[in-house]
Formats: sequence, C-alpha cells, structure tokens
Amino acid sequence: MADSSFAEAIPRRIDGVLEAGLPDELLLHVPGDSTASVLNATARAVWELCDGRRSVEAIARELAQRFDAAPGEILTSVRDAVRDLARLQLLALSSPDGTPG
Amino acid sequence: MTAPDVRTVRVRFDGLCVSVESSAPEVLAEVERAFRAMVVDPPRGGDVDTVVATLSVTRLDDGYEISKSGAEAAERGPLAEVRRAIRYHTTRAFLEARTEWFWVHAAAARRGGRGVLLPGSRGSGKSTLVTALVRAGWRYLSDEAVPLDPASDRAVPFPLTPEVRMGPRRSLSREAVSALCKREGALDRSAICREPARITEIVFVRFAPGVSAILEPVTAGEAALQLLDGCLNFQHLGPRAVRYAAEAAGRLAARRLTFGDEDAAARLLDGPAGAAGTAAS
Repeated sequence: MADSSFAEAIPRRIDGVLEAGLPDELLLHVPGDSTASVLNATARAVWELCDGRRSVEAIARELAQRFDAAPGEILTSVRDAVRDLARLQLLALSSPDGTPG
Repeated sequence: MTAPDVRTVRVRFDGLCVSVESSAPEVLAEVERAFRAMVVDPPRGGDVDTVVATLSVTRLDDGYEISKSGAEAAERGPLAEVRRAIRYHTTRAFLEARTEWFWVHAAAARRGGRGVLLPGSRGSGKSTLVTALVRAGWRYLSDEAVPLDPASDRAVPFPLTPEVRMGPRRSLSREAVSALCKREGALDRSAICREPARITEIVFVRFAPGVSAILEPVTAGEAALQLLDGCLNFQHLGPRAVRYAAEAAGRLAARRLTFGDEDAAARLLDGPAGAAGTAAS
C-alpha cells in the first residue's frame, strides 16, 4: 500500500488479543498462538488509538498534539508501527470506505 | 533360573511421588544419582504420597527400554539415554500434576532474604552458575525446572542433582553443546533449601567464554518475553502465564548475567553491586 493511501487506512485491534501491562510497555498475546510481542511506549500509544474509527493520519495528528511534535515526524513512526502490528496480525486494516486493506 | 528381582526407587515432590521400577541395579543407581535429594524410602503401611507416574525400565540385549504408565509407546536406548528420559519423564509427571504453578526452565538459589531465579536456555550455564553459588554459600532450589506459585512469587524446591556440562571454554554451536558430557555438580545436603523461597529477582544467564562476569539491566518487556519463552507449561496456563510473566517482570528486578567465569559471576551476584543494580567485573 502506497504511503499516501496508507495514511488513510483505518487500523483496528484484532478481537481477543490479550494485553498485559508493563511499566512503560505492553505485552500482547493472541490466545492459541505460540508467540508474544512487547510494544514500547510509542507503539503502545499507537495501539491504544487503533479503534477501527481513526485513520493512520488521524492517529498521528492526535499523538503529535499529545507529545507536542511535528505531525510529519510522528506520521512516519505511526505508519511504521501500524505496518509492524499488521504484519504480526495484531491489527486489521481497512480503507475509509470499509474495504479490507 | 529365577527372574531378577524388580526394585523400586521413589522420587518425591510436594506430596507426590514418581516410582521407577527396574531389575537392573545400574538403572536404579542412575535414578538415585539424578534425584539424590528427592529419593525417599518405600512407605511402610500404605502410601502417604500420591503416585503420579510409574516408570518401568527393562534391560535388553542391546540397551534398555523405558515405559511410562499410561503412555502408548516405550523408548529404547543406552543407559545415558535412559538417564535423560527418566529425568525428563519424572519432571514432566510432577509438572502435569501441578499445572497451577508457573514452571520455568531455570535454576534458582536463595541467600538470606534474596531469592534469585536464573532462567536460561539449554547450555546457557544455569547449572554451572548455581553450583558456583552454592559453593559461595547460597542454598539450592533447582538447576533445571523451577515451579513458581503465581500468588506469592514463591519457588517450590525441586532439587534434582545439578548436572554441569564438561567441555572447552569457548563458543560452541547448539548441537555441540547438546553433545557435551555432563558431570554431577557437588551438592551437600545441608545446602539444599527445603522450604519454598520467595523470588526477589530474575537474572537471565548467558555463558560467554572470555568474559569474566557482567551484570546488565533488562527491560520489563524483555524479561516478560524471556519468562514466557522459558515457561514449561504454557499449554496448561495460556493467558494466566502471560499475565503472570508481565506481573513478575514488572515487579521483580530483572538483569542479564553474562559470564565465562562462574566463580566471578557468583562473587558479582553476592556483592553489593549484585544486590543493588548494574555492575561489571
């Protein structure tokens, strides 16, 4: 997916993922799976905003406001985090019109 | 000609018992060596402990056959393989009878109010390090499998006889490590901790030739992942294992100890830096 259209993609956390809080990180596990993942503070912030309603760009804008950073800088980090989480099959992606990505 | 007598050796853990039967004295001697601190005399007047498994070992012309009660297939091999199989099946039987605990592939030792959990993969130096700690005055809990009570962080003693790999002090492939011979670590009975001990810290162990001893902090996330990786009964616990690994990693100090000299590593853990935080030696 091209970067420009990826910014419009809407990520949604997969149902049933087990979350276990750590001091600055988050441990994720899909029941029945043999792997677990740890999200650092940045990835955790992205993960928590992946509610199936916000686009990647909207998540980046919200985090830029929260951390007082330039939206362009944040967008790259958010895009990378969403791609990584999708590759780990922890997120589902769809287009603004609802088509699965 | 009369059939040879079958004798039984009983291994006890937490009110449970695994019986090993054989007419081959060398097999029973192996069991007694492998579980010296856990072997008990046969009961008089009825069983107090619950027998969770019975292993039967028969001497053949070309080796031995070991079968476990309730199992479909028997295993065959030389005496060394029988020793390995007995350690494995005995540990497994106790684990399957106590699945509410978080069993981790680790060594553990206690000194005063400190309880150190030493997780590490095969060949990482757990047994070498824990025997060095015992030489330095620590008390021994286990060198292979540590059952943790998630409600209290207490490690229940599982004092198999430690087995230390003998080999060159240099980096080896995983296959080469597995092929190394083992010798029993010297263990005085007075050094064995018989009561559950609260784990206060986690030290991930890694053997590295040429390094004396280095202790470094580990993030809670990495500690949680490594605890899960070493969990021996994840299939029983599932989500509870994930939650406990995260809780323990968030609550307990976690570090990595890289060492090539186990006595230097023991001194490092023993010293003020070992008790308090990061140190290098």
